[in-house]
Amino acid sequence: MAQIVAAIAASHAPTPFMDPRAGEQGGGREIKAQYLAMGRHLVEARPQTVVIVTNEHLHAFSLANMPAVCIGVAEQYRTPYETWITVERQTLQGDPDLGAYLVECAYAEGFDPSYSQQLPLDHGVYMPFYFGEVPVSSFRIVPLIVNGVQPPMPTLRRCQQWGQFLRRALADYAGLDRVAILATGGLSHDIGTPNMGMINQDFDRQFLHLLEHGSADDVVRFCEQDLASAGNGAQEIRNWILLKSAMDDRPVQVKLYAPEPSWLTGMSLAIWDTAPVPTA
Amino acid sequence: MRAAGCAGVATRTLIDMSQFALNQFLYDTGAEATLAEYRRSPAAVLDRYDLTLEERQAVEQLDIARLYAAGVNPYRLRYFCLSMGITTDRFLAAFQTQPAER
Repeated sequence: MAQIVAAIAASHAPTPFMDPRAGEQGGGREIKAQYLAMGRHLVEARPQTVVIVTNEHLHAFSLANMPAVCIGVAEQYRTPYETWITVERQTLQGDPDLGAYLVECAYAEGFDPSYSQQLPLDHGVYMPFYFGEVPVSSFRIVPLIVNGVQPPMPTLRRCQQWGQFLRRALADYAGLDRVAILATGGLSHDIGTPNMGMINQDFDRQFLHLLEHGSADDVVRFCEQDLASAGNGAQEIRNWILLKSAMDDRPVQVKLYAPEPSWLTGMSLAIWDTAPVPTA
Repeated sequence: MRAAGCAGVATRTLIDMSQFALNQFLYDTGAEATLAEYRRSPAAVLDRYDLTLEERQAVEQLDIARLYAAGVNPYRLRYFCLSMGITTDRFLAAFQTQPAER
């Protein structure tokens, strides 16, 4: 039975790949400090496999084939894929056993993900590891890719259901003892539009308040009302909703909120309490 | 037209086939090999896509506002521009002189 030893939500942005000094100037210093702390937290949790709940930015999928959810079942993944990123490429080791288990469990429970043995991964996966200085050779990964970039997208309610499914499926998995979940994306931002640079701080702060103090239902209801005001990039918040739902009964602490203009994104980090619950 | 039982579902979130070709060009040039080929011989690469004359000219001139107005995915537009060396400031400046309707 796999125990969830770390559960982390982190904004992703390609900024550190484009500007090597992004973590050394202005608000970037606080972002760097918190990503480093997140990285230490993940390493100290000693996960055998990290399930990465994220979206990809139309590097693996296009309008030729646009899955709502795709689970990676590859042995290896190359990242980052972007041609305009110059950092050294990494090969991340996959956990195809857990990936295949999740696909089969999903089908058995009425979910219909696609799956992939050849899945290019972009900054959505690699940025938190890179910026958090996480030694990626110390665990394997299963990408769980949710479409958050090309309408139409899976509903927020469906992402909540995916989270509930993921919790159940991991709890029943006999192939691992220690697993982590890393959700990446959001918060408020707008990419590739005339409004690029917009950060809706009100949305972000209300979202983070509900993340800490509300239920997954509360978060979904709020986002159903207000998500459109937070830019196209905020659609990535599906990944946070999925993790919030997977960890719904556990406390979560927001470690960072930095609406840093030069990052074009409401940068945030949240870490769930994954300590075993004492039995009475 | 709305399907029964799907009240509130928008019907115009999908793009038409012409926009498909333009989006597919932007997707394909996300790959290193195709991008390198496009840099060497843009016309040869563009010939492979069923683009309207306007769409093709917008790509050739890297007319960001027109590409945006044509309905390309904003992420692919941004990343194509980054691969062509267009900074954030230049990207945003492209909308100052042209309307951003889409």
